[in-house]
Amino acid sequence: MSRAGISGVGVISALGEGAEATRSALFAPSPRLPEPPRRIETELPLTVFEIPVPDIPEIPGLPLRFLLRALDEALADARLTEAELRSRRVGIAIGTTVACQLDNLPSHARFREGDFGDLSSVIPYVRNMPAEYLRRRLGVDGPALTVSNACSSGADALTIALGWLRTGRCDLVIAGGCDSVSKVAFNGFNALRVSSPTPCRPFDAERSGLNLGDAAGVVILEAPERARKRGVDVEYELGGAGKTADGFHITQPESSGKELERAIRIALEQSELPPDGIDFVNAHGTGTPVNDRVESNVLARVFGKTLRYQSTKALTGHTLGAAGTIEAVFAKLMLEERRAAPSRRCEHVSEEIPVPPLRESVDISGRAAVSTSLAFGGSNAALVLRKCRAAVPDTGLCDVFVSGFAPLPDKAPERDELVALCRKYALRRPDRLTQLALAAAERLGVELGGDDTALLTVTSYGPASTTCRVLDDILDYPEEEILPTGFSHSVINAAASYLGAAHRIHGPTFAVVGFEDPFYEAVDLAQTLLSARACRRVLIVAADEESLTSQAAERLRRTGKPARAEGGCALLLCSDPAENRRGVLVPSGKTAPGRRLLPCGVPEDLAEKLNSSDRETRIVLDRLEPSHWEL
Amino acid sequence: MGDVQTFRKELKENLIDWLQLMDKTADDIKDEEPLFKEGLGLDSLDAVEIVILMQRKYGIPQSEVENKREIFATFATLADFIMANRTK
Repeated sequence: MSRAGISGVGVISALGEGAEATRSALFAPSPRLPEPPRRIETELPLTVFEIPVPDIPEIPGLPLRFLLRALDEALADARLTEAELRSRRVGIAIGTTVACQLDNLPSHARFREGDFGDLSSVIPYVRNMPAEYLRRRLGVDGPALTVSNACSSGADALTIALGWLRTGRCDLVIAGGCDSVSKVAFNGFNALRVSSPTPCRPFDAERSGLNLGDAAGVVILEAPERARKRGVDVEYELGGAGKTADGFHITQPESSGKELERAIRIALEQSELPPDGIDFVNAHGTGTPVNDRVESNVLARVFGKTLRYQSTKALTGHTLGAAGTIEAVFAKLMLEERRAAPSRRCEHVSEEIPVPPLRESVDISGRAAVSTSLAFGGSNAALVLRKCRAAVPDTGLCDVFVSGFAPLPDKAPERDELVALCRKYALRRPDRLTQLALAAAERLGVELGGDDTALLTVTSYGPASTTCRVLDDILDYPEEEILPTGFSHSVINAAASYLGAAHRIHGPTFAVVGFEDPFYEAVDLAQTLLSARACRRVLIVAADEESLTSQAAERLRRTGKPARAEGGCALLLCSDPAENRRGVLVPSGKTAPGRRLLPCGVPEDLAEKLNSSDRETRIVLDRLEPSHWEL
Repeated sequence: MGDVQTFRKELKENLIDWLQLMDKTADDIKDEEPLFKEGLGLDSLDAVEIVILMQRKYGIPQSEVENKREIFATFATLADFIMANRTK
């Protein structure tokens, strides 16, 4: 029963609200142009694809408002009631970048003066982490995981969903992505010199960067036969999802694109389709010089002369954490139409682009499509949507063995240790959170690299002190004097990118972020990845750092206050009993009352047990009670 | 504005601070060494940061520096340019 049939979709973007509006806009003759931003103050001559904000006053965050609109549509499309949902084993995976960064400038201006009197901006940030919020709202109790892998997050949520269904961890998954144009991202992409002052033109010789956009998408995945019992026709499934990491650089893609190619080939293999069985590719195609060159060369290598592809970013802008989901929805809509939409505003194809993108819409068989997403840190995702196959049995869940454990150091490495780490791994300028993560991984004392190692970083606050520096820059300097590396190092997956580059980790890499119990979610996901044979071992690095943000938020914590402000742990898990060193770790699914925590929700007693455990030890990990915040 | 040697030492210390060149001291940065790739090993984002920090610290508008690669050939060419064009 483990096929990931697509029983419902919801989407909201510059192409319109809802799948039907989107379907016709994809093929409309004259696409909408980006406009100067209305919601953020700026003097920069940049344009964006903003959309009207849904009127949901109780939800302060824009990404979540967009997500709720897409969710309502997807649930209606799948004919699912909340009562039906509560009778299923529901998983929730949501990708985002903006919803998990506390980027409120007025409150930051107060916090940095030591004024923590007004925490009203922090409450929604803690309470509205998208996946956790949806789990509470819908009253379901399966895994709920917010993933923030920069611009591939929306595809990564679908990849995680496929794993949960394949293994039988869940029998229905709500997967999606949401983001909005934010001041930090707007100024950050400009500082990185990748924003275009003109409407973006993916794959064109004159392309000069991206335009940002608002969007959200939700996909309901379940066994097709379950949906058909409700009278819902399911034509397509998420047939495969390849997830790889360049392990190369924090912002630049590795120039050969070999890891993107590997991601596409994994997705094709899972889908049981050869390259020429694919009707078209919806490319990431941001319109930046480097992305489009690397990506188009990879697509030409994999698909050869049969390659047909488009970027839809000229229609929606780059919607960051939403992009991977909404583009999977676009691909499904095109498959249903039996037509692939053209790539807009590519007038003179760049010489670096080996095969030109589609210039006009073309008829297709409607058999299968690929959607690719690339992100900061060399995070590659490839999804295959294809006509449903016959059911197969679940893989089930395997035992998880602990082959290594190391607590994070109490404080960031001293200068000499840090210099030694940077020299050893040829790294530059790791942010504070990354320094903690690198030091913990080092303490495991084993080789960590390889194609078959997955990496999960876990955090509540992300590189928060770096984010604070970005906010300082915005408050204190003119927009053209904002430093680019502040932004690129403030993304939630910065530590994952550094760890991957240091250890040459090329397996599935996800930055997990949350407040209720992100550490539990990561261990649970590790079991899924190992069970689905997506990797041979999983490195989990849970880390949080002291910052103005954490100082503000921790004032809201009711129970289980972390013993220390900074810390976490590194944990190496595997499925092979031969690599068992410290026992079996069992994520129980049960909730336990509040207890002493290390930062990131790592239970202190777990650390104690793992410090003295051996191969025979069986350690049960319960989920924390979600009531440990005063909200 | 001090003499050339004093300024060069100040700029080297600033570069180490700005770009977090943790394993370098001012003495490690040679005047005639290229700033990028095989020299000091800086990359294109470092270049963007140097341009912004030249504006913040020395009052040199970014527009005066854009597309002038020769300024960034070596540490000495950068130092000479800043000395000749600084407004603060």
